[in-house]
Amino acid sequence: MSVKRTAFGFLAFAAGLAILVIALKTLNGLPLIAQKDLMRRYGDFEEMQTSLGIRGVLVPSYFPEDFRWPPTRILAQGKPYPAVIMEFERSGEGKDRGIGMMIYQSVEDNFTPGGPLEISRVRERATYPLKGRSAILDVGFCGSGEPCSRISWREKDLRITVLARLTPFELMKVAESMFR
Amino acid sequence: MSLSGFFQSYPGLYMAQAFFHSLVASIVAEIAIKAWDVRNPEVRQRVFLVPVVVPVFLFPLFQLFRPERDSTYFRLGTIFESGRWLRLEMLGIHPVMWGLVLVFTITSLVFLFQELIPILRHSYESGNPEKAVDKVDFPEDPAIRTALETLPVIPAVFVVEDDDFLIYSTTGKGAAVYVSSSLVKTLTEGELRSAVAHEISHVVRSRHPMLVGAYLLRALMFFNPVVLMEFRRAAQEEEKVCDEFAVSVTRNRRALVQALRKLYLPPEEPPPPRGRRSRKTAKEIEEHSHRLNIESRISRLESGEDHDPGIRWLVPAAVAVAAVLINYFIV
Repeated sequence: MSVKRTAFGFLAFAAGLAILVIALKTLNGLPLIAQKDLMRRYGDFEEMQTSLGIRGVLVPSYFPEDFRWPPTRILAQGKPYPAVIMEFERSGEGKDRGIGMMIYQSVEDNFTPGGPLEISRVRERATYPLKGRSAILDVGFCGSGEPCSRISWREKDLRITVLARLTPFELMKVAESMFR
Repeated sequence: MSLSGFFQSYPGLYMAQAFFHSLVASIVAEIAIKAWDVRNPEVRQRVFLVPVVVPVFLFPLFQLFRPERDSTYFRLGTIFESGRWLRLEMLGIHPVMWGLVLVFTITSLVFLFQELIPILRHSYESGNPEKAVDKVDFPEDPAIRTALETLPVIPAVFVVEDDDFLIYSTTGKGAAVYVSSSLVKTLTEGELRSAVAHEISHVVRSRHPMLVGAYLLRALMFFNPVVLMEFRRAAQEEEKVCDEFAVSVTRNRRALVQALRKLYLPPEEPPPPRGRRSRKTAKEIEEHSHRLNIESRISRLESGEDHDPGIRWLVPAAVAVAAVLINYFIV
């Protein structure tokens, strides 16, 4: 086989793969058109509530410095079980921009969305009484080595988790403000 | 456990993703065959085996090295998320989920009745070859003895008293080639040598570790229709690989072509008058498909296509790499 033929084969192969990837991406989008309650991104909180009919989603009324309402990104689904993820970008001067806080709420206890903020190493774990609920507080480090805290508790039929690049004290203030 | 729960469990995720991974690998293989215009049967066989082998390992390996691949964020950024289609709900049911279950069930039954049971039966019968046929060893038959004189390797070759044109081989411990007496009388010396050389190639290649391994992996994917189809395509290429082996040892392409024609291509009977039969029977379809396969082997042998040594490993390697990379983003 000549070098020219082999090279042309590579080009044709690459073009074929590109078409395959585009076709798969298109196919991947079709269920979102047919079914509205699959996991997707929403423009704002109200749109998500109206579209999915999910009520009882808790939101904080207190935001530490560098964070503010509304969330930078909202992802939610109605099926196979209701779940909402809210991301908050850090906006302080001299600090890394990027996702600094995530709040996720789901019917499933083991719902772990992964994503831009994850505790890579837990330094300390404690049970903390949160306005009459028993919450689990994890203190550790995020992927970048920056201190991170996570608090998680069960509220009626929802598991609520707040994860942030914050001190445990600040994180608990955010969590407590979700009951006001 | 509900069906939905099953498809969220490890076995369910494995089965669904293995199916989609093999489907994508199969399309990638087809693109490669067309892109490089691959005609060499050995290369084509290796390419067809990629969709057979790849889905067995990909999901467990991906989960082992990148557990976050299962997270919501990863799934949102993928090329294709199978869960979206599986969870699609219409009139209170999940049609894609149930469709997949139906396809898996049918494929498992096909594997059981068309492959596993016949193989077990064949293994049992090969263990008792003496009882199966009334045969004579080839040195006792002058025609066969002369024909095989020049072949480099000769396993046991037996002549079976039969009026039909038959030639086949058994593998395993009692590996042997069986030729019917009527075929020995019909074929010329060169044709007989080519036909036996083809069967010897089957015997030799049945011990090939790559093919044995591929069959075992294919058996693990008993539920997967894409793997079933691709494995059968690879098996069809095996005939052409054995043709090439026969030509390489006998150095007589023409003799093998003639042997194939005499063995498998009797003149076709005239079609029945119009209107009398509108539908083909399953047997007729099978015969037609067999005939097409033989014709394709003959046309390949007659054209004397080159072996494309430059792409012997390049194309299968390119297919394997592309299949792994794309499938990483198929969850």
